[in-house]
Amino acid sequence: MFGYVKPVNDELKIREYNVFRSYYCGLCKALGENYNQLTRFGLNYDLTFLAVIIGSLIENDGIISNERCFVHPLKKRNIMKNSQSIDYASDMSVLLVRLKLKDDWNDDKSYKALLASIPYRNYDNKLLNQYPETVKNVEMKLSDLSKLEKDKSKDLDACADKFAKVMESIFQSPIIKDNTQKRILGQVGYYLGRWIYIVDAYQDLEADIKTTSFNPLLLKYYEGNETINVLKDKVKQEIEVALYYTLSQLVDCYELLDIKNNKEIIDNVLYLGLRNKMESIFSNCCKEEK
Amino acid sequence: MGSSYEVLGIREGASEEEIKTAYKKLAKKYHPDRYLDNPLSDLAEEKFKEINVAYDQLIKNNRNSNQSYGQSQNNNQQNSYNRSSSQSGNISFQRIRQLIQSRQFREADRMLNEISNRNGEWHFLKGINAMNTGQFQKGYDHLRNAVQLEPNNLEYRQAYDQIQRRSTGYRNMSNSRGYSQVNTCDCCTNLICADCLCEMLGGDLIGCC
Repeated sequence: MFGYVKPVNDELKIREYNVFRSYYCGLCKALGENYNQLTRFGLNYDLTFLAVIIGSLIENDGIISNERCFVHPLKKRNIMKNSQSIDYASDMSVLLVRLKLKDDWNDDKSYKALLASIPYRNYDNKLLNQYPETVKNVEMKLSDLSKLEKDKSKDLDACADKFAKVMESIFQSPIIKDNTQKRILGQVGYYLGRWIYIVDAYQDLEADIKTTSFNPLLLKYYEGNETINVLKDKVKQEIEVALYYTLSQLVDCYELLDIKNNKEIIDNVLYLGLRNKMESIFSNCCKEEK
Repeated sequence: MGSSYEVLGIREGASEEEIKTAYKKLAKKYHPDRYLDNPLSDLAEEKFKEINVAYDQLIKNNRNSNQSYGQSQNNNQQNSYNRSSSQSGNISFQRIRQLIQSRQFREADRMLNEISNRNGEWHFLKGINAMNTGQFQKGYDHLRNAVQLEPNNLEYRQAYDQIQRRSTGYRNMSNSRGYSQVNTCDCCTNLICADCLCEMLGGDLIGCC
C-alpha cells in the first residue's frame, strides 16, 4: 500500500535532495531508536513525506547531523535528529503497520502476518496512551474498510473514503497546535489517501485477478473475459479524470498551508512526484518484466 | 498577520508593477471560484480577502483609484443551481437543488435515491451532490451520464467541463513547474531499486548511493 508519495529527485536542488534524504534516514533511525531494529523495515516514502510536511509547519524542527548508521557502515549520512515531526511519523508508521498486520491475521489467518507482527506487539498501549484519538479513528476506519471488503463493495468512492479518513487522522498531528493548519493538513491527508487508495488498486489489478483478491476496480469494471491490457486501458480511461481532479483539490488545499520551510521539496512531491508516479503506473512500461 | 507587503510576498517598497503582478498571481490562486467545491473554501475566501485588503492598501499609497478583483463571478456560479431550477419542472428536483445549495448533501442524496425517473436532471444532481462530498468518481460518472442523456443542456455540460478543466488544470500547473515524464522503468532505476533492497538487508550494490 505504500511508497507512492515521493519527490522527482531529478528536479530537486542538491540541497533539497539532502534535506529530503535526511528526513528519510532520520525516520529510519528514529524507528530503530524509538522502537526496535526490525521496525526499520517498515520505513517508507509516504511516512517520510508526512514528517516533511509536518516539519515544514514547525519553526526549527530538528537539526541535520552527519552520522554513520549500521545499515550503511562505510559512509556517513545526513540524518535529521531531534525532530518532533520525525518522531511522530515513526509512531504513525508503527501504528499503521501494526494495524495492517493485525487485520491480515484476523481476515485471512495469515501466519506470515502473525510472524511479521512480532516486532510490533509491545507498543499498542504506548501508542494508545499517546494518541488516543488517532488510534481510535484509524482503527475504526480500517475496520469500516475491511467490512466493505467483506461485502465485496463495488463502491470505489466509499472504499477510498475510508482509507482517506485514515490518512486524514494521521495528518492531523497533535504536535501542530494551530487549529486552522491542522484542519488544512487533514484535508491534504484526505485527498492524498483517496489518491493512494485508487492508484494502489489500479496497480494491483493484475495480481488481484490471479489471486481473486478484493479490488473495487475489478468488481466495478472487470467483465471476466478481457485481457489484462484491455482492462487496464479501460479502467484508466474511467478513473483518470477523477484522479487528476483529486490532485487538483489536494494542491488547492496545500496552497492554504502556512509553510515555513522546505516548500520546494513539498511542491516537488505534490506537483511533480504524484503525477509522475501515477503516469508511470498508467503507462504500462513495466509489463515486459513479468 | 504580516504587513501588506508580506501578504503579497514582495519586498517593502516594491514598484506598482511588482505589486500588481504579485497581486494578480495570488488573486488567481486563491480566487473563490477555484474553491467552490473545496471543503476549505472558507479559508480560501479569508486569504482572498486578505490579499485584496493588502493590495488596496498598497495601491492607495501610490494612487487612489484601481479596483481589485471582485467576487461577482463567484456569485453567479453560486446561484447557478437555483437559476435554472424552474426548467426542471419537477417539485422534488427543485427541492433537491435547494438542499444541495444549503449543503445538506445527505438529505439530498436520500431524496435522489427515492426517485425512480433517472433522467438527465437526476444524474446531474446526483453528480453535483457526489462532487461536493468528495466522491469524485461517482460525481464524474453521473455528470457524464447527464451530458450523454441531454447533450444540449448547457448547465450539465458546464458542470462536466468544469471537472475536465480542473483535471487538466493540475497538469498545467505541474507542467509549468517543469514536469516531464521520467521513465521509471529504465535500467538505472532497476539498479537503484536493487541497491535499495540490498541496503535494506545491510549490503550495498552501488557504493555511491
